[in-house]
Amino acid sequence: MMRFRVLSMLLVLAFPTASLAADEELDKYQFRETQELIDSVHDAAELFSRKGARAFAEFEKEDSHYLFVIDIHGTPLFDPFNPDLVGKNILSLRDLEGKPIIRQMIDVTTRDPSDPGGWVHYLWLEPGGLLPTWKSSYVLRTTGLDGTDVLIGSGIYNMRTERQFLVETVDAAVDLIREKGTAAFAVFADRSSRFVYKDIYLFVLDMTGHVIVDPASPDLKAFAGEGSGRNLLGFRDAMGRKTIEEMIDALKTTDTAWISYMWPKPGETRPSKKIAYLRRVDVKGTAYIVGSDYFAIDPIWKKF
Amino acid sequence: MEKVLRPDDLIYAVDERPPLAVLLVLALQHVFVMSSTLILPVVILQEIGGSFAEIRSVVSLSMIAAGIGTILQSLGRGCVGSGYLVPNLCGPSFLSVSVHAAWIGGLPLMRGMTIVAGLFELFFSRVISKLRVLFPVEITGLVVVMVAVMLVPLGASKFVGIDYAGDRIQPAVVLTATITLAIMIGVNVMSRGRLKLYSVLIGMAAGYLLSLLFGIISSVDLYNLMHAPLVDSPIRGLSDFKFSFDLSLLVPFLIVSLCGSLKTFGNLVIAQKANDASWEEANIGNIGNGLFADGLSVISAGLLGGMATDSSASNVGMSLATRATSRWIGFIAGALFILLAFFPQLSSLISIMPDPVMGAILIFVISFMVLSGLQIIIGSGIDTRKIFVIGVPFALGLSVDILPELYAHVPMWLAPLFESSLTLATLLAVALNQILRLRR
Repeated sequence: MMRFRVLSMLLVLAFPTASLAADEELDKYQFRETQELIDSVHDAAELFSRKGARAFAEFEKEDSHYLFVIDIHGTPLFDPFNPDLVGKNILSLRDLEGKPIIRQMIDVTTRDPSDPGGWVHYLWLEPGGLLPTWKSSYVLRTTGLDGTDVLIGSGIYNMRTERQFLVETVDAAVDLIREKGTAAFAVFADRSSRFVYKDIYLFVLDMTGHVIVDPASPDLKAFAGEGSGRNLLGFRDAMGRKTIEEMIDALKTTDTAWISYMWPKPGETRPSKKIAYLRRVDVKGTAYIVGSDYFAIDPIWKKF
Repeated sequence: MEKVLRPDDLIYAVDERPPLAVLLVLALQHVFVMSSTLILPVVILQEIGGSFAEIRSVVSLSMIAAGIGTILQSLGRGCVGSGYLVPNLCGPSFLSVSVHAAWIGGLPLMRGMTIVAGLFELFFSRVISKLRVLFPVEITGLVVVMVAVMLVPLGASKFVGIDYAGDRIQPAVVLTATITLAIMIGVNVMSRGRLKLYSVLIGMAAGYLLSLLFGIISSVDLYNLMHAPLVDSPIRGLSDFKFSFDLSLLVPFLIVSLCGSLKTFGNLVIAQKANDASWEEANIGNIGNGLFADGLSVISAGLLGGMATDSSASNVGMSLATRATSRWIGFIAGALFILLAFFPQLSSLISIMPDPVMGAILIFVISFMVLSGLQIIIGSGIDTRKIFVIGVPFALGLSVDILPELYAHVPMWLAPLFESSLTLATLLAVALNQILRLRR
């Protein structure tokens, strides 16, 4: 990373129009830790595409990030922490909540051919840890010397939430709605899906503020029947602003919006800033708002 | 006007014009420091999802406003400007409220509320010149100390290279920052002659070089630098030129404006004192004029569509360190800043100040400011009354920074007051001073 930066800096000074695609990808992320992870996965993929399996020896020397390589059918080719798994098919591997980890990795990297990278979040036991914690892995699909595709990835335990996580989650939800229509809603509340992880969840509203997918009470509908959800149109945040109304207003004119509102974090009394990513999707003439939100993390020096 | 005694150790006093070449280098030194907060409009726009063209425009317009403010401040004609070298930059204290406004009503609301904040400062500037009784010399000293305290979070976190709670300390950053600071201090302490003028610039050059060697430069900055055109119109990225206002943001903006005014107050006190060896108390009329220029600068930022400006404690601290307080430096630095706004690539080259360089500069100038403030307090002649007028607000003011959770249940409309140790300490000191005077 360091070498890369010096080089790119010099490049920039020499050729102001030179383009650095990797940097553009990194700019989507807020935290250095995330950027370094993505950088090392991209470096590894580049090495693999040149050297094939001979690159594995060099992956092991990598001091900062532990990398794994899985073939496109779910068989690990390289995994220094779990050498016993290498060569065995683990496609059906699930985490504590039933998330099909390997299937999700294959899914996020093959969904969009123009974007071969993506995130998968699952509960996993950190080496030396006592209880499972959330692990976020970045996986990148890359082609080896023999022309077959593999997934190269690396993960971090207990990672701070990036905005990009919301974007990927909500975009995937919109894709699923476009594919399956309102039948997709049932999936969103399922903890074994990719739509619920860490403190991230998905919600769906209609344009009148009616909650269609409600993370607060996913089961209620089974008892009370369809159309029984809450109406949040009158909801006000900690500053008294009508947040849901703002969301609906914003999505009357565009398909994508970011809205911020204030709410106390669990266990706190001071309101903190929450940021929601929202998309509008139309199913058979009815407009729905699909969104997700998280507590924004401000720079440590922002308080003056 | 009281008699002014030119301090012997000043190399260029306020009215002395350095030779052109020296003037240009000194102005450039200030331009670098003024650029250090150009990251703030970028932070605001990025958070609300602004495009790169939009970000560039807001940065350029902020630069023009800060340049105008810097020139007006140095001008000192009539009621506009103190006539001292007190450059402007994007005001860090405006960051939170500006982000908030931008979330609620986009750039139009940020512009509108910035104008309101500037108007309030104009009002405050007129009031303060009538109310010198509120600000005896020891309180002006306290304001200076608290301005320095306000720079600590940014200075310390940049010095160790941490932006978000939970980040690891970066050894390369700490090393670079330490060497940069050591060089600045070394040149400043050892140099007997004119080298002192350039102590910050010399340290900064070393810091940039080391940062380049160690690869300390953020990808966002690189991206900005690369994608910036050489010449561009500052308004090209803007889609509208509207203004809007929101009553719910009035109090937060007024309180931040008060905080910014107090910071300028402190900066002006230092500038006055630096130019007068016989300085005994603040010239409040002059400070009122300085605040007036500051307010005009904030208003122009709002009208142009930039981020709210503020007087720069770092630049004032640097002028103390380099012993060059000539207002001619202000004219040139302001003009350069305006000019740079039309050359995005050059301005981003200057504004990609690496974290350790920024950290080192801030720690360097904080040292001057703290001591300057303490000197003013002590110099006022301490009596038992003053011990409490200064001590109690100091303790309670600092509690805001050290234990912000204490004030979690303060009513929402009052909350901004408990976010700034400078504002809280000053208001408490002013109040306490009046109460104890009545008792006498």
